[in-house]
Amino acid sequence: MAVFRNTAIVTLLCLLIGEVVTRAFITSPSPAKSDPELGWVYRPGVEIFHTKEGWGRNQMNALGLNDSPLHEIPVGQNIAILGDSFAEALQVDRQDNFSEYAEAQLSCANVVNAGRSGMALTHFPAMARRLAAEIRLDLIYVVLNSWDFDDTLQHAGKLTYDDDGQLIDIDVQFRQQHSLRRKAAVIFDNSALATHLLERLKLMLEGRTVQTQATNTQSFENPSDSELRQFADIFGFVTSKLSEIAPVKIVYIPRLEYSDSGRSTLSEDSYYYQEILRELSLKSDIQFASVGSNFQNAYALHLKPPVGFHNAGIKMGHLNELGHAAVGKILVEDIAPTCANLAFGGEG
Amino acid sequence: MIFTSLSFLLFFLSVLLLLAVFKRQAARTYILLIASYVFYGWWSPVFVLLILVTSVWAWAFGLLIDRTDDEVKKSRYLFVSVAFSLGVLAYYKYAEFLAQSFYAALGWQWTYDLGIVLPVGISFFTFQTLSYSIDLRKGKIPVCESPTKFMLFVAFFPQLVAGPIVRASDFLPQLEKKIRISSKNIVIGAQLFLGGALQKTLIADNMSTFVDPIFAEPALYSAETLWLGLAAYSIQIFCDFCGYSLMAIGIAKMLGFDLPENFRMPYLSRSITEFWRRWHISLSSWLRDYLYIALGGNRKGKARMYSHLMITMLLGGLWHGASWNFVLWGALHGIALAIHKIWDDRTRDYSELKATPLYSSIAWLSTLTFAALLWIPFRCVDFPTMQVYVSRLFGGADGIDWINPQVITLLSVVVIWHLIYQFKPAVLAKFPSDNPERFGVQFALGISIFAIILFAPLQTSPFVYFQF
Repeated sequence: MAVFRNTAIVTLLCLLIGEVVTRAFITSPSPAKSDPELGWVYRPGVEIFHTKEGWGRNQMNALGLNDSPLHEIPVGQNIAILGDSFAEALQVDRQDNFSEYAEAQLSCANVVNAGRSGMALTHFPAMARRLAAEIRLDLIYVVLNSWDFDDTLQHAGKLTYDDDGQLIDIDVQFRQQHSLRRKAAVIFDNSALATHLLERLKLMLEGRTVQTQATNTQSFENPSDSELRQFADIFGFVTSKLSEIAPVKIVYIPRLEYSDSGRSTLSEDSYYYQEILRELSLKSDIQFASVGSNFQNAYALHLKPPVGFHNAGIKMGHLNELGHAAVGKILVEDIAPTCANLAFGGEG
Repeated sequence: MIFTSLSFLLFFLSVLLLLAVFKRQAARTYILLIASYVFYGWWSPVFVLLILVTSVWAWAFGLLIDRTDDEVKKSRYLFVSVAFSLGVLAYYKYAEFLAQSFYAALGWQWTYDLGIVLPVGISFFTFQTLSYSIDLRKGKIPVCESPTKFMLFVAFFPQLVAGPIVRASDFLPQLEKKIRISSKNIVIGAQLFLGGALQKTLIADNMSTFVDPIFAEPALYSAETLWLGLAAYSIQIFCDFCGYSLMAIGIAKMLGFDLPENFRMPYLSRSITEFWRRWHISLSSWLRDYLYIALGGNRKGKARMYSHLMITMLLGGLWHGASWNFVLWGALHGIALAIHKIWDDRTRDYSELKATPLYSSIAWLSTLTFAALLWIPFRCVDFPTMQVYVSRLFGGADGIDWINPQVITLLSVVVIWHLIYQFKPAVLAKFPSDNPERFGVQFALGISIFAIILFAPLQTSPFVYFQF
């Protein structure tokens, strides 16, 4: 009898300690809700404590986004940043992410961080529509990185073409995914331990590591012609949908390869996708900017890569404070002239 | 199929179940032998044939050695047996290295790929067959008449691929007794296994995510980061190999076998000689008994003794891998052992001074620093990388700073563990306990399992010593 009593006490104690340790060192509970268009999104107002990479404590706004409460500025530009986890930036505190960096530097801009981990190009129209329903949008930045090509094709959903071979619709409805997560929502919303274990189990079953993107160092192979065609179709479709809401610009975050003495170059795959995106942007008459040279300059100056964190990995993973500042500078340089025009009474 | 994988867990539970069902000694021996070959074949079924041939060869020549009274013939049989085992090892492990070195010596460019795949654990099972043949020839052990038992001795899966290197004199007598699956052994073995898994998954695997990128590109990192990388690797290789050995010992214990201790807190050593008495004990004692003493040991004068030491350590280095880095590592250890012997001789009259805490502390720190620095040639993939590492380490180089808090936490954990071992050994002596009902034991086990589940990296790194 004593054995069973001890076992029960030990199990409870371990669960309790596990919960405390997980909250302190790994992650907070993941209070997410299922969204038919965007997958899992954060519940409004929840606080997310992120320690896997970096150390960020951020409260989500009413749309479940990593930003301050949504508001509109009557004069000046309301700008939406659409992107994945690189834009969402849970790894750093709010004031250090590139959306906030740009907003702080610019007197005329309200920069809305609408990044969400796991989002790909195909999800952006839905997100933009939701924002546009709340505030006037004057400009949309689509922030893409080296992994977005694959992510976009993976999350392409159902593509509908017309008789002329023109892409006319993308259906990205999330239907039967994450059924376990949905059924046991109460546990996962309140237990960091359960959230962490579920994530590990999922990654184990999928045979992936925590940082699939970050540790992806396999040799690069050019995508096939059909993949390139499909990506171009999606890119054209998404940007045209976004353009119906506001003008669109592309910002590309490449991956660097580092040498000693502060030298660095764009990785082969990053350079390839950068040129693909530049070409597609040109075709769609969309402004394109790459953060590559800003990253290279930052590394040369500080001998610190713009991605990676001491507690996860250097040179890999998400943007750190230096990386966010480098992206933020691109945004500031692009938006500042508009602010100057506004100050002199010109049009934005 | 590594010990920390789900496939191994299922495999092991199946073996335990079969052993529980079939109680006859012969059946259990066959079950363990087949399981061992399945385990080995998991990597490459072809090499099961190699281990089978190696075993049968050593067993058959063992019989020939035993059957004849002619001392010359005995020696010839031994020579043939040993030459075959060493020939197989040389072909698989050193052929390409020797050819490359030969080409390099002549200034030619090596552009070939011999396509030789190194069988996992070949260095370990070769040394086991060698020890059997040599001990048999010396009359230290009786011949093993049963091919099944001999093959199980060579292929026993808990220690097959990375040791501990088991002597025939230790293992074969255990096969003469009844293979006993008892709850007591399972409880003790499970604790040993868990202790090893903690070292492997929680410490070594987490360290490797920090160590690998640093040793891959030392030119990028600052001197401080390289020092931290060196400390991390010193702990990684210890916890990886010590953890593996402990898991192997635990698995064997659950199956009713006792394997020899392989590590005894080597980083607490106060001399390099002591370090080798505590590090990879089964290999160092093998090298001592079958190489150093066979060469003459210290029986042929001081000068010869130092040369014997050098030869032993050079070959010991080469045993770890076919690379000049390992040769350098072995040579430096050989030189250090020789210097320590000279120092020991000349300071024999200062035993009181040597017993002081100050002397002990200096001796411990210098031994630890030396052993850690020698991991650089051991870990770096080639000489140029090693040169970059060393020059930046001591040159105060600028570069990327990566002061990883997890690594520092784990280093602290290991330091505390060593301090407890040194100053409060009674705490650690409670484990493994044969009383699973004790609350403290259950709590320690529960927390250990939880720690592994929560913090172990999802992708387990292969054991470092598998490559040897």
